[in-house]
Amino acid sequence: MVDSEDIDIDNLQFFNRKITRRQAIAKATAAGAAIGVAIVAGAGGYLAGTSVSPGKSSTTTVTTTATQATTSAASLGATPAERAVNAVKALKAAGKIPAGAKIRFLEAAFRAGNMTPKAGDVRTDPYTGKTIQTSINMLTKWEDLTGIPVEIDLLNDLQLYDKAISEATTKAGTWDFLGQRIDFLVDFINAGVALDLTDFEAKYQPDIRTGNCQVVPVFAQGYYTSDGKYWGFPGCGDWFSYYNRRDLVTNPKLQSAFETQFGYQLPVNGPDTWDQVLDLARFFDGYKGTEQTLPDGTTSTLRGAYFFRDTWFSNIEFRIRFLELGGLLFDSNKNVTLDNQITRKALQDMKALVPYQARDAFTSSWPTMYPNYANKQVFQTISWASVAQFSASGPVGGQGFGVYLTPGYKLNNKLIRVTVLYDQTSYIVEKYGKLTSAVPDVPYLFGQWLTDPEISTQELANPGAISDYFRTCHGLDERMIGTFFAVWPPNPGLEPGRRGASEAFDVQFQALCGTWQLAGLHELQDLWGTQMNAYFTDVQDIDTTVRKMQQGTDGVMDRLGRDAQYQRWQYVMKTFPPALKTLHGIS
Amino acid sequence: MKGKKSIYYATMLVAALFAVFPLFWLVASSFKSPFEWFARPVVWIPAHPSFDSYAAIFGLPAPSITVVGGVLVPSFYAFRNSLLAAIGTTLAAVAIGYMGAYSISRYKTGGAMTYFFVLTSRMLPPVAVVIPLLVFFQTLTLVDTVEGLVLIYLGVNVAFVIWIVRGFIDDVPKEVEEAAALDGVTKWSIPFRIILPLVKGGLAASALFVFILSWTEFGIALILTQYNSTTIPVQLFKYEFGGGPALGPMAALSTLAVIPVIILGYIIQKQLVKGLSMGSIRGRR
Amino acid sequence: MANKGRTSWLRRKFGFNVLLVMPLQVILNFVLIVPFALAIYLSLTDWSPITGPWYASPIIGAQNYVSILTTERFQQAIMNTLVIVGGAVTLEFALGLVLALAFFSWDFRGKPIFASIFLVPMMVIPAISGFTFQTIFSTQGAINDVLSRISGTVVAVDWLHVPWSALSAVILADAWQWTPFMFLLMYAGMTALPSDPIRAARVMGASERQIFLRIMLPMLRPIITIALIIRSLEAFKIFDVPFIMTQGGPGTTTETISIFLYKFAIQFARVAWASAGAIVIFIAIVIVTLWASKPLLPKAE
Repeated sequence: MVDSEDIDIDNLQFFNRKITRRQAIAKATAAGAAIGVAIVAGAGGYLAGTSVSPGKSSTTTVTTTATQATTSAASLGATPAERAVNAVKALKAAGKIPAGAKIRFLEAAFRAGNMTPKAGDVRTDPYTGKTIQTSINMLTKWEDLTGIPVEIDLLNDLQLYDKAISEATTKAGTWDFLGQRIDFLVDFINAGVALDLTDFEAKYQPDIRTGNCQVVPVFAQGYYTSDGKYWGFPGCGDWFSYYNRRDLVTNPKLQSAFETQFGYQLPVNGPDTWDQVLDLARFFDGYKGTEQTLPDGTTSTLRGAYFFRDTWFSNIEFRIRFLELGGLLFDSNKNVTLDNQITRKALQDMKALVPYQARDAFTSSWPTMYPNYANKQVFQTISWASVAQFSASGPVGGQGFGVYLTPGYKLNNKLIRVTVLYDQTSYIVEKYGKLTSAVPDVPYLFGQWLTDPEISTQELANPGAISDYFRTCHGLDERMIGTFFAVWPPNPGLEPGRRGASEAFDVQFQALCGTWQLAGLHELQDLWGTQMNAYFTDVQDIDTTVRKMQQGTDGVMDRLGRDAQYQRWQYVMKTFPPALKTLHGIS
Repeated sequence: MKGKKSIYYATMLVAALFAVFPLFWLVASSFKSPFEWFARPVVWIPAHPSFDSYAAIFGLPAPSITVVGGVLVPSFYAFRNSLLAAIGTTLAAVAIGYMGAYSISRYKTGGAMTYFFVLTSRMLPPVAVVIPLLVFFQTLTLVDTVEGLVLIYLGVNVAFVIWIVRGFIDDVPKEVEEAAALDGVTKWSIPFRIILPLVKGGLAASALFVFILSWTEFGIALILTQYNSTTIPVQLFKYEFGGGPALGPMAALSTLAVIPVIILGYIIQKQLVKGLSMGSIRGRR
Repeated sequence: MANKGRTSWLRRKFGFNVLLVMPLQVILNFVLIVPFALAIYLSLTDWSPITGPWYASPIIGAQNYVSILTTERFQQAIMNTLVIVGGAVTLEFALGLVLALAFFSWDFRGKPIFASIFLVPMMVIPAISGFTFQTIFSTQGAINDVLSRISGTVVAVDWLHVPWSALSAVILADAWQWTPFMFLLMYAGMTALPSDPIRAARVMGASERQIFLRIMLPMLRPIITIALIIRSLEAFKIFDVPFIMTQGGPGTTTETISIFLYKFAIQFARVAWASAGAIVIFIAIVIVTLWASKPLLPKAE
């Protein structure tokens, strides 16, 4: 390749030999771009040739309908789990499952941890030092039963959604089975990530709406959309209850001091209204071991409250207060109704608590709240159930904590309590998954097996503990209640003698409102959360905040289809608790 | 004189303390038990140092934090992938970058435009192109491969090599090449046989930068890697303790992840200062 | 014969220098130009992953550009980023220069060890330095603990929920990580300075301050310019640290351009809209850098 004849004195000019800029650019770019263009052109054809238009219903494509099997559901087995295992065996016998098939499963890291302990793993409760037996490994158990391995991939809860929605972009089919927040189901359906499971439900009968695996109805709403189709399996689901220091509110000295200051009796069995919550926060904030020494002799300063004020959880409390005040997202003319007195009142009341809050309520979340409450550094909090078990084994102790119903607002002299069902996780089958494309039945059946209460209760390694995998959607199931609530500390707040703290759940069930399944909910939550946060931290005033919430929401509604969003909201309203239904005249 | 010396040392110690303090915090966190992670009052040095965080990230029994999900995916793989991606990127970037830098320096190929064009690759926020990149890589089946990661890191980091090495080559007098040419070295082999040894320092410096940048990159890797090519920064986000960040294992993994870079940095530290001082960074005359 | 012909064509069209630069060009085209071209195309459509395949999206022209430029939150993200870049780069430069000067002009032992220690922050994964600083600045974090111990009362400032201190914390975290880079460049530049002028000035009785200001600083100017440009370009893309430290809060007061684009392009799947923003930003950076680095670009001879 090398020409030696070039080497002569004259040729030393090569350093100075100029190519004009334009020539060089033209050459280099042309060569590079040619490669690039060729690739893109080829790729475009490839894409056009292979991908499925997500706009179409998935049932129209051959690969994603239920594989025809010769056996009927009843002959497969008595329970959903049995049917699932037997159906896979039947498919295998019929040669429908390709060799080397495996289910690829994306799950939030903390939930996956409970699902797949290693053999011989032993956990130690951080407070009591008690040794806890871990649960069985669900994934190897499934493999033992069916011979289909499950390959699990995990990610932080926060990044999980980002990954799943990027599957909508690529349609890469990286996973067959996704653990996801059901809040965003509409986006996953629109993006074509979720597989329509309606046919499979009919075929294999997971018994979610009826039968012995029936989930709490308000949860079931999350797995079906407004068109009645079935999309997801019952996963974790949770809502907030109200917690405070039972040992303090039962102290007679403090009770009389409270009554002197506020003119009414200290609400021992939990505050009814948010106004009482504020009074309690004011009363207990800054309590020091002086004249009114706390019963346990605590000397550190007690803070009045720890109500999460980060952007995510502010949304939850805002929704609770907004609904309790009679707020609705749309009026009957399909206009967004956020710029009103209801939103203002809800936000102003939330801000009123700020001076009595533990300061890190803004930037930290429950990983700091739990130890704060358990170590007697805050008086009250709104949280979910595991804080009870967590603090029962800590310094607060079994008698120290009290769990109560979510506080409410009085409308027309009638107390309205609402608990928002948020963070409901579910499992969906990914439409483009490699195994899904071959035999959609298999990932579906894995889901049916995994979420059968008979199986899923075995996952509850340490019910109610901090890393627990909640299966509260099965809250009506006696097996579930037995496993899940048996270990709960007794609840002194409500009708003692019943199932401990679980009873708060029973009552809360009646105040539960379903997931706000709207398209673009992730964006809406970010919008509402950041605007609220700006108001709480004095970055902007209430008028600006409410106006921006209204404008931003309008923008999202217009972009994603106002009519469709209104229909979805109507569907959410059907899950309102009875008191709200009466208020708004919903049948 | 002696007083002056002690001022020198005091200043350097304060600066060193500032540099090391967050790292100390990190290392201390890696030895804390779960409820010391966010404890109040602050736990500076854990009373009973626990190695569970380290055990957990390698999938060994870690009684206090077994439920951290990340134990399912031992960090071996992340280390392997990160090493492959970082080393692959570094080697390729240095090779390609050196050739480009030589051409740009000696031939003024493309004039100022080529050089500036290369620099523009550092001006684009990676998140801006990550979705188009995803669409593009999907068609090439490069998603979730270490090779794909190397390609991208190469594209976004090679500018560093050009930027540093070009200055070095500028500083080599043209007489060197002219003399070599007189000795019968062809123009094809001049850059590799004659110039390369003279700019080793610059190559080492640029290699370190490229290595660090690809070793610590998070945003692109998060979107483009899943099963087969998870890198250390993404692996960090697989550790959760009951829905919150599992600070201990994260700190343990980051502590371990710092070590190779520190070793590399120490090895080529002399080259680095000597190298960088040669001229690259002095810019153009 | 054909073979020979091809060789000469190749040599004529693609000289040695172009061949050398070719791999670079190809890789940049492959990884940057193609996705960027795709981004430009997408920015003219109304595509979102949730509305269908990208190639089927209708072109809507410049709508996205108008829309994103008039979005208040985007404007705020630009302002926040500028403040962070300005603050962080200034701080890094000042600290790096002072440290390098001390290193250069003072005579003490253990320089290699100190240098290795100073370089450590640069090697920490930015995402984890974000976590570290979050715990340090949080209410129950190290800073408040130190202040409490000094003052004897309980200090519980939530540094990350007041806009100015949250921004400062982000700047500080970035400065911690990248001051070593400035230090390295400044120190390298100083060691490369010709020693004669400095020695001559010293003989003539110039003070150390005069030597620094009148002799060293002017000679360091090119490297200072380059260092500032490079650091500003890098800081402009800041993502991991504020994303993890503050999530852009309180409100959106620490939301940087990269966080904004990440949220809208990836999380909210508004790819077309966010791409328009990215392209505007890119063009702005290119123009500013072109202006700032004019004296540094190689001149055609």
